[in-house]
Amino acid sequence: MESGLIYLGLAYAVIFLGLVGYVWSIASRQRKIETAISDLQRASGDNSSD
Amino acid sequence: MKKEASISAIRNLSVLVGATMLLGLAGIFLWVPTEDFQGVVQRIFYVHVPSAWISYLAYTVVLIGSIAYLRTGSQRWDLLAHSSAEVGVVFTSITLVSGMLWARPVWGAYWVWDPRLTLTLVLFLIYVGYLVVRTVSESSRSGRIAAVIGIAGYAVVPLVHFSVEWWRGHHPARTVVNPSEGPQLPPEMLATMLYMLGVFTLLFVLLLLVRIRLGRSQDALERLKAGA
Repeated sequence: MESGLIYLGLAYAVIFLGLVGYVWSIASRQRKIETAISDLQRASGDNSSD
Repeated sequence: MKKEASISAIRNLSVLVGATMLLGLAGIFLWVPTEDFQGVVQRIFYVHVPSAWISYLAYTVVLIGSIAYLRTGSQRWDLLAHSSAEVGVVFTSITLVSGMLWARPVWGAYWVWDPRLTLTLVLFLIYVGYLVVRTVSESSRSGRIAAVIGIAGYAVVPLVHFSVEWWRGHHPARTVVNPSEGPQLPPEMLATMLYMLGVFTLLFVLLLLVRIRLGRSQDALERLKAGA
């Protein structure tokens, strides 16, 4: 019974961490892309004003 | 305006998923009775079965998106299939890991080469392969190859589902929906499992929307780079 509790806790912890990790990875990729987009837009704005 | 509406929908859905998930966890740990034979570890069931079913749903979306992409060539369908494959792999990972942690105290081993387990691993590897094809090359040819994998790979889904009836193994037969004998679970367990299936469905929709948004941003960046 006691070991069952350990495996139950482990299962829920792994699922929680896995889902949080996946969401974090998407958010991180989204941030990088948005930064790259705004950099490109700023650069093209600078070029057009030149 | 459209972008703001999409962010707002994602935010609202996140709150809904968070609230319903907390309620579901309260049900799992405070309301559902402990199963007599397996004890507390049986509570893994309430995330294991919904994640397996959501994997089927995700791969069905991949199938639909892949067929539509091959027929129309529209990048929207390709993005839908690609995003759903990624989310499907996450849910299949949850199914495999939760199953292994459930099997250890009940069967005495993390893994046995049972037909259901083996076919689920094959399904997982097929869609990991799909994602590898997408990662290696972003050309339209890789999109078409991935679409063919997405369609052909779906043949394993019914094999996984019916494997417990077609071949003998360690994995129990279908207990939630058994057409010949009806539900095999006490009402509280069945209600909680179906509730968690609803929560996982909302979670799937949320992750799919977030992943599609990322794909659209990636496309926007590629267009900007091409125009620069």
